[in-house]
Amino acid sequence: MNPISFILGAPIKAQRQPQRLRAEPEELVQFKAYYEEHIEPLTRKFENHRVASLKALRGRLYTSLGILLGLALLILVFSLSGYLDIPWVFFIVLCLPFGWWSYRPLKRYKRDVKQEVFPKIFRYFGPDFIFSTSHNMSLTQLKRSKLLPGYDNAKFDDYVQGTYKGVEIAINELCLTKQVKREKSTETETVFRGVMVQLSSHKRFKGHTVVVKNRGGLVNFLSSSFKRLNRVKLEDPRFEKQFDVFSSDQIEARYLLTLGFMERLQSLANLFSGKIQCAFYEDKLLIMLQSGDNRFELGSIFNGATFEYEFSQINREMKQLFAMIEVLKLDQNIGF
Amino acid sequence: MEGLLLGLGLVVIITYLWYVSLIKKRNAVREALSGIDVQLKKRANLVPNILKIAQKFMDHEKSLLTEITALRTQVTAGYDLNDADAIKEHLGLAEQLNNKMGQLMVSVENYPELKSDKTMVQAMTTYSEVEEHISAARRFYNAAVSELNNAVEIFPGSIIASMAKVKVMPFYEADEASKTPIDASDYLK
Repeated sequence: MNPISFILGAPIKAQRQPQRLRAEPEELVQFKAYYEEHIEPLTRKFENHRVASLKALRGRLYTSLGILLGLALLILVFSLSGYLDIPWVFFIVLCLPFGWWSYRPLKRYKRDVKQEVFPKIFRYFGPDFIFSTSHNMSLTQLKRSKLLPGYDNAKFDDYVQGTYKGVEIAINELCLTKQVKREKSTETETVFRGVMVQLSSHKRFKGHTVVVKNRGGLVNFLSSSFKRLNRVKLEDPRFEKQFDVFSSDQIEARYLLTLGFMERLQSLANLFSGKIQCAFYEDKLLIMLQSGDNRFELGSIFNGATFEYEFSQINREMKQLFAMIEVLKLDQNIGF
Repeated sequence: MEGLLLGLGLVVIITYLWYVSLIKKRNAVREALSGIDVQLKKRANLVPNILKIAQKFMDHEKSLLTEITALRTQVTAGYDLNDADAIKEHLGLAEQLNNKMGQLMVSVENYPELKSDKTMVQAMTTYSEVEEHISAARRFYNAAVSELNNAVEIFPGSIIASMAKVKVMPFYEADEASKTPIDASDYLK
């Protein structure tokens, strides 16, 4: 089924046929076993929920369409006879509550999946893994990283927390927006959209060190500081070309950013098209990954509620994040 | 006349700014040097503990332990911060101590009892942590020295430096022994 056939009235039936679980060949057996034990038992209940939501959505869409068409007809008749002169913008505004009302069953279904199924999916990565849409990182703590750009509004989305190979992980989607005044209007501009990854560190540190995108030669010539942190010039010219490092402690910055770590951070930056910045502060490493992708989301509503796609997709995304820990060797008790 | 005065004023300002920058660079080197000393002091405080544990087990390494003790005393002794030769000697001794401690750590491998001793394991972990800090301090110091030496040796900075008595500073170099390439055949006999 697709959106057009759905609107045109194609029958909505429960889909029990499985899709395909996707994982690396070496973990596929374990992956399938986990799915069958923990996720598959939920699929029948949610498939019924999905079908009911789609039916409710279509019913409400038809009702809304009928009411709106009736209203449009009335407005047209009265406009033509000169009794009414309503601008068409009013009609568009009228569509909004109907749209909201029609979408509600779907929204409820998605919320229920995230509340009941996703936590089970995330427990695959470890017994202490939690997934939540209501939890979020402390914005004050994030602000203290000195990485956040100027913003007016912050909106958190999905939150994941757990431990991988002894490293405590917290992941939170974040969108930062700013009001920008144009000539005639004020527009909302997104200044950051992506994922914040907070990792515990086995190295202890007192100072504050940030690795930011290269600001350019001219800016660095004119200013050798960044939010009251001093510039740290490192030995690796390739790293210096890509990043600028600022710290409150010159020695500690070099203790944290060893030559090996710099190389690993560069390979990580290549994986994420260079849109990566990080901060070592308060005994944590905070990685800021800029990305337009909305992570940990539900697949198409028109597919059966087997959650195989979601499980495979989340597994792939989490493996990418775990690779970061391995690339940065945060799990090993050696110099970074 | 006005042009001449203007030119002269400009030269004075530029010379003064150059002088300021040189002094800042020299102070950065001194700051980096004190950073190294803090770490060397940490290591010096750690060495007696390691030696105390090692002495119980390492009967055949007496001369090495004595050498380490002597070097530790020399490294902790004061030196003239304004004397480049004294700094070079101080850093050289620190590197020799590092080298000897490295030898000691390798020798520990031959004493399984010592290797598994809890206090020794903890001391060695702390030692390697301090070594990482020393290495970081050395990188900071060498970066600061490199900037200062460039400023002092390149004309016209060299003239201002000689007037201000700012001199080139020695790098903290790795010990010659650790720079020598290893011949694998020696170990494969």
